[in-house]
Amino acid sequence: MTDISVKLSAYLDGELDEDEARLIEAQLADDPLLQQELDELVEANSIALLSFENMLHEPIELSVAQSIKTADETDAIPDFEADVTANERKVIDGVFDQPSVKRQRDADQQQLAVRSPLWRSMAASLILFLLGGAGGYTLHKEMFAGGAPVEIAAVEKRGWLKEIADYHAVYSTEERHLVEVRGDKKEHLTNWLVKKTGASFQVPDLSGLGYVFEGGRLLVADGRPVAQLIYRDKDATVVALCIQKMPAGMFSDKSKDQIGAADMKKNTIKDFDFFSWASGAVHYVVVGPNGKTELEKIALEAARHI
Amino acid sequence: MVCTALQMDYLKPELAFARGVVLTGVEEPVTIPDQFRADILLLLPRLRRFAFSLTRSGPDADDLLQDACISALANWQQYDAAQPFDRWMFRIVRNSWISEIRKRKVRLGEGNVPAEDASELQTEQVADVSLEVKDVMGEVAHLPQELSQPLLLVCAEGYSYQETADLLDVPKGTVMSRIHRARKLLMVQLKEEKGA
Repeated sequence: MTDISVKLSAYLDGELDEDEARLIEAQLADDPLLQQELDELVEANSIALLSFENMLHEPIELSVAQSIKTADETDAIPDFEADVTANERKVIDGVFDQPSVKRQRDADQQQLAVRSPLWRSMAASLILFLLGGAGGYTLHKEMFAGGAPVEIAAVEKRGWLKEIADYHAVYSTEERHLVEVRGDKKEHLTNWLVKKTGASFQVPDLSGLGYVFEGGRLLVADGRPVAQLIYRDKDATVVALCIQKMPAGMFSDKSKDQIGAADMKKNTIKDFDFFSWASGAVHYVVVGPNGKTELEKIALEAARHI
Repeated sequence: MVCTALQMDYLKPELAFARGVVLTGVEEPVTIPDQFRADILLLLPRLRRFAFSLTRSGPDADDLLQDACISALANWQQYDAAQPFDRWMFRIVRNSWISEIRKRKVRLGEGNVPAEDASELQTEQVADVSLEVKDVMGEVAHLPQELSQPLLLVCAEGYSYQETADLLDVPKGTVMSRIHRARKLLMVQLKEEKGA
């Protein structure tokens, strides 16, 4: 393993100082093999990131959460009804009301009528945690038996768009590293991304709208793989089409031929506009700069030809 | 046994007697802030992931997570709020694992083990990866622990090389080379998959 090879990883991680980074960039410009190695390192990194993200969805023993909650037995008992909905109460009860805990709580409730604002703020934090609002964590489906699927969908949707916005802010300004696999390797790219995401698609041709297909990359959002197809127009404006298979159990009755303007949902996050839709078991979103008027046209064109 | 303020957190006065604890009556009542517990709860998925990367076993990871959380709650007053909370918790998880390895080696009749020997139970190439590890860790399951851990910290947790070196008690240069070796091994693995 050469020194320059090791430094490529450090370059990727932003661990080189400015002079070293400039040197590496000059070498990358002159050495296609080195550039290829960097591309492969980026791909390996994406795969590792995906694996690590998936690990966040491993179930956690209830006893751990219980021990954190009950370690101080002098705590007052929260009045959940005052601040949470019935569905949220079910979620909390489903996780924390093991028989022994419930017995203790019932006994304490008879003795204590104290309301604690701190406890209520903690309950709110717990709900965020339980609904997957932080740390990318989502509960397993069995915890939601009779629970709140609407809330899950809302949280996941917000999470996926926000993460796409973060990625777009980083990658859309890249010149040399805009994509992981270039557009001239479309077949290889498509096969790879279809395999990784589990969502079947073909690369839409947007040249009629003035956008050239530059290539794509694998992303991770909400702990699940995302195929990102990237296009650029003559003004170097970058738009991306992102494709993600929905969680098991979620499905849209609309086929791609039925998608119209009424099915498009517009969002604006971090100076980017999003047009998203769902078809079958797949979510799609087109993202581009805020105020780009043709973005909806691009989304409709993509929906028809994906 | 005389109860300190720190230990009092977990004891109701009426239970203290039953547990053999003598309250001196001069301790200041100290309770664990709710926000502290909430912060630990929010970190659980990431702590569990780190614990699994250390133990490579679900039950061991759960035990380690439990031990580390209890340890953090017992020592909450030692946390310096000026420091990142997740770094503090990760350090506790790792120290708890080192402690567990030492205990295991003592139980195996190998005597007391220095920290440098106990810090990594599996540092050699992972020849036989269990189905559970493959299931949980996916593509990174085949990386030796010494390579997957710095990759996890840098790639997924956003640690700098120096922060990773500090946590794992290895030189920064070692972190750099291990992360690169990890990515190279993944590249080879990917090429094999594509070729298959």
